[in-house]
Amino acid sequence: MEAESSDAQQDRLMVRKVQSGDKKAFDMLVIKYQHRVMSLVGRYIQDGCEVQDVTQEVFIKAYRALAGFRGDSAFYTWLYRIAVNTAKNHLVTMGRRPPNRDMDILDAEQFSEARGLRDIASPDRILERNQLKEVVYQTMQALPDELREAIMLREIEGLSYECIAKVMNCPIGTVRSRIFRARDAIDKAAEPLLESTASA
Amino acid sequence: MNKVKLSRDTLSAMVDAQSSEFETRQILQQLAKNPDLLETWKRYHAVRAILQSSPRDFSKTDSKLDSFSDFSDNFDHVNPNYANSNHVKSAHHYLHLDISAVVSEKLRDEPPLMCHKAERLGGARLPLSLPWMKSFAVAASVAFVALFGVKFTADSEWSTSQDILASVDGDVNKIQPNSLQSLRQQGDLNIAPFVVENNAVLASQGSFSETVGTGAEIAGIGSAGVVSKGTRQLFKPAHQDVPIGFSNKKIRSNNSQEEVSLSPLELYLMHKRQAAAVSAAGLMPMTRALTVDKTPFSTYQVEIRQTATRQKQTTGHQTNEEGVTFDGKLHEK
Repeated sequence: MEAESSDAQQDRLMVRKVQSGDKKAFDMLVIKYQHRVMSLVGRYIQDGCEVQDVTQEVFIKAYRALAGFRGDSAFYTWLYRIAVNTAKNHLVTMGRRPPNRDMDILDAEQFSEARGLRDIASPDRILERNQLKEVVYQTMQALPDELREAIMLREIEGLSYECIAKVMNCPIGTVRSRIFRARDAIDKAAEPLLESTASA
Repeated sequence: MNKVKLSRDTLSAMVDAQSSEFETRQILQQLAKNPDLLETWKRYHAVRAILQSSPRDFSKTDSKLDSFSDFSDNFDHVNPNYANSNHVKSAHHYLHLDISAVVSEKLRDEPPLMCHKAERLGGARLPLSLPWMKSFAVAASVAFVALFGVKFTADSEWSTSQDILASVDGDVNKIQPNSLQSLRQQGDLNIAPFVVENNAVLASQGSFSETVGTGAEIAGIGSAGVVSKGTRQLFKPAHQDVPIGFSNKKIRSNNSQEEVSLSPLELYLMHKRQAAAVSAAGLMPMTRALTVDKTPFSTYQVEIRQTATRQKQTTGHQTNEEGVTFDGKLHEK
């Protein structure tokens, strides 16, 4: 719950920055939420290429509407509504029937694996993805125990820094530092592959 | 720890939504100057996505996590299968996709948002949720203007502030107050006054907008917000209450699509109404304008201080070619 409110607070700062004319802050929001939005759109649309297009449209619409966003709800809740409406409009435009019932935001998060969702990755992309995973896996193995443990508790188990501090019996500042060092080490190892993936 | 490392450390905490507000603000401020930050942010999210995509593979690397299962039993709010949960897993169908660059590219030609400070998320807004509060606010404003309005309009210091106009010179974030003459000497075309080549949006909010017709000469900007031409922003207010005036009297409403002739005062009033409609900060000038609106136009002398040269030549108020001068403030004759 604490992470959620921190998340909302962080989003609020980013949104304010965008509203004051900083487009880079919007890029940050796109990077942060792109996979969640794609996943959500994928609940309505099965074609992977269409999912990408609709997700792009969602963020473009969101940017154009952001001037009117007053923060009555969390940014993601607001973005969620845009995504659902855009996906449904897309279905109507394509002559398909949108679902009768709107998916609740929590339902959407907990929805089981998307039905018939097609993996649209090309063989090259799949190879790159596997290489990337391998590099991350090896780097994780080479990490000192306390760094590996910290990053695992955060990323795999989803614990807050406070909980990790209790598990590892160390101050929160140490947890933060360990997670950063682990993440940085993985980032350095994966950077060349991530860059080639991005430019591909 | 050097500055770059500190920023990356903060970014890492931001990925986990565990950075402080101060740190987040700092990162957001550095964002424009340091493009590496955005790249790092992107990679950190990519690494997160990879780690969460196959949690079981990575879990094998750490036997110490066994201690976590004992720990998690004592914490109800802990989700022991976080990365295995469906919303995390399903998101990774799209792991290999990064649409951020495409979105950024598509938004490249979009004007940056320039919300008025009071309109921004979390900005100061009047809590006018109850009808009686609105009435009270208006009544208080009217009373304030009745008491102090005349003093303000008669105050010579008001006039001197009108010498300052705002301009955009490349970066809209670097707006500096300048005298009109010095801006003209610089040869900057994006300065007031400028002649509108195409219809220009004077101010807009949602579906409500006002457009200045082709050929209009805008002499300044108002407190309502951004003056834009097409989709390109030309100005934003450098400070509150910079006046707006027109030498061309044609204004076109988006709703009627008809050009109507309006006096500078009427334009001013329309602009102030617009300001009031789009922001709480606009209420006060609107009240002042409405107060004087009841008096016939001819009893007021209104001045457009279009050039510094004219100001040098004149002392006090002087009429322009159209027989009326306008400085956005209304001076009793």
